[in-house]
Amino acid sequence: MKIRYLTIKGIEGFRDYLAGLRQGLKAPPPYSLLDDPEFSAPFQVDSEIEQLNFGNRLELAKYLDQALKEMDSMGLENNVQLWSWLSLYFFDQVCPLEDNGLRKPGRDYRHILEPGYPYGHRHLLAGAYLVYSVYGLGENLSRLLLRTPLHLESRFHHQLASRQTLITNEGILEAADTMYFNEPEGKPKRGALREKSSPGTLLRFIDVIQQIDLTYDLYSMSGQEILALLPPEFDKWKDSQTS
Amino acid sequence: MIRKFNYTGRKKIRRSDVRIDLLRDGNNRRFFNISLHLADLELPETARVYVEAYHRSGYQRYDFATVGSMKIPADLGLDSIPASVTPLFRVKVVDRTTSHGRILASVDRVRPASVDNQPVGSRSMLFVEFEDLGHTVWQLDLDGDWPVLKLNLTIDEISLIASSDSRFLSLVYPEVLRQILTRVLMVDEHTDPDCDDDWPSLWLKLASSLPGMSAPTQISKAGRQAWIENAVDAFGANFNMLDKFHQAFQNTG
Repeated sequence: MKIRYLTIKGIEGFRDYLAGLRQGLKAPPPYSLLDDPEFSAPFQVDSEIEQLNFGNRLELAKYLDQALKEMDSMGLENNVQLWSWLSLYFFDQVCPLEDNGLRKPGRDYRHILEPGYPYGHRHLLAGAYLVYSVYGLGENLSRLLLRTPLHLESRFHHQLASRQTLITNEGILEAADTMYFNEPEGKPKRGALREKSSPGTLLRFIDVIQQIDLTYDLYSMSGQEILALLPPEFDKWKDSQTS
Repeated sequence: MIRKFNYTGRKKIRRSDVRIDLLRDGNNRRFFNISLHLADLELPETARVYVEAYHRSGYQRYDFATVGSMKIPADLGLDSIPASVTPLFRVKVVDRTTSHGRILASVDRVRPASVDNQPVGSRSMLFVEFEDLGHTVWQLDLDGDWPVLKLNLTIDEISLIASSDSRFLSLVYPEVLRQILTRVLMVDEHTDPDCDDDWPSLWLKLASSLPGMSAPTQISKAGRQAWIENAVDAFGANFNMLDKFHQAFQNTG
């Protein structure tokens, strides 16, 4: 199918549907909005998209990186109408049907983009695209943040992507990946998301990085150099491949 | 009194020693010019100088070589920053002679002095951005790098309304002031207008300079809410908000 964008009226229709779901509506998604000229319109550049099943948000981000290549990259991440259309297109994956026949959409900004801070990165599709393509983190630095099904935002993503000084710094993300990603199992290590009072957790890492950032130029440092600055509470995470 | 202390030993680059102008080249591509004076700070000649431009998801870094031999990079384009926004800038002087780059001097959140040859005022207190806010007319964003008044771009002539409509001015801006002072005093517990030239201090300074107001440095925690309300009232009096509001309705009635 050719990628389109929802018009204002289309977004209203989609928003109404999301509100209905929260009230217990069991109707199927309004897929007709996707190609009805009253509710959506084509882009000038023809880009195709396919209804694939993605194992996680990283797979989706890789796919969108290619699918949206032909479209103007500057500003794409803020295009509310495009991301709303894509959310509706992939709605079965970003808001799957539960056993009781209901869907739990969560807040609108997960499906209808609200660009910028504080909710832009929380759009389930645009948030993944931001990490992989706009910040250009690629597979190795995105995997810690995007290893969840499409309908779930990981706390790694939530904590790191909401902070500009962290998400734009590859050294910091490399350090986080080294400590918190379980390479053999291909997923984040257990325990890294415990509360802030637990030594060496992600929240402690963020705290410590924000302190170190006042003294050191972290943008010029590699992940290994940043790891070397961390206090001993992080040794367990640095040394362990799999915990 | 709650002040911010600098325990790191790094020097502070004065904002008055940095001037940044945003311009466009013949292809409408944005870039910046910078004038930077570091001579007074007695920094090592070999220390590296970096300038960073940023706005939320956008970040770009420029290497200006060393303090002793500063070189302006050939490309000062702002390609990583969305064209619709005005980025902030950060200048860092870094000691790279050790394994970790220690920051020797810095200044953050520098606003451009001009955009496309139009002065914006280096001390502008409130950024304005236009976004689709759904059914909301305006929002105040205090979670970014600088206070931003967001206006709903779907409203016809919202820019004109926000800058000159007396009803908007009298209803919205006092509330903007109230929200900002609440964040600064009640949430961040920052009470000293002279401690920095970052936005919390600038807004406290503005409020303290209103007729009948003084700095809230000696005011107890319990008295801060009343101080904020007094400041909002003084703001309204100083800018004749009530008269503006009355006149606007007489004119339209």
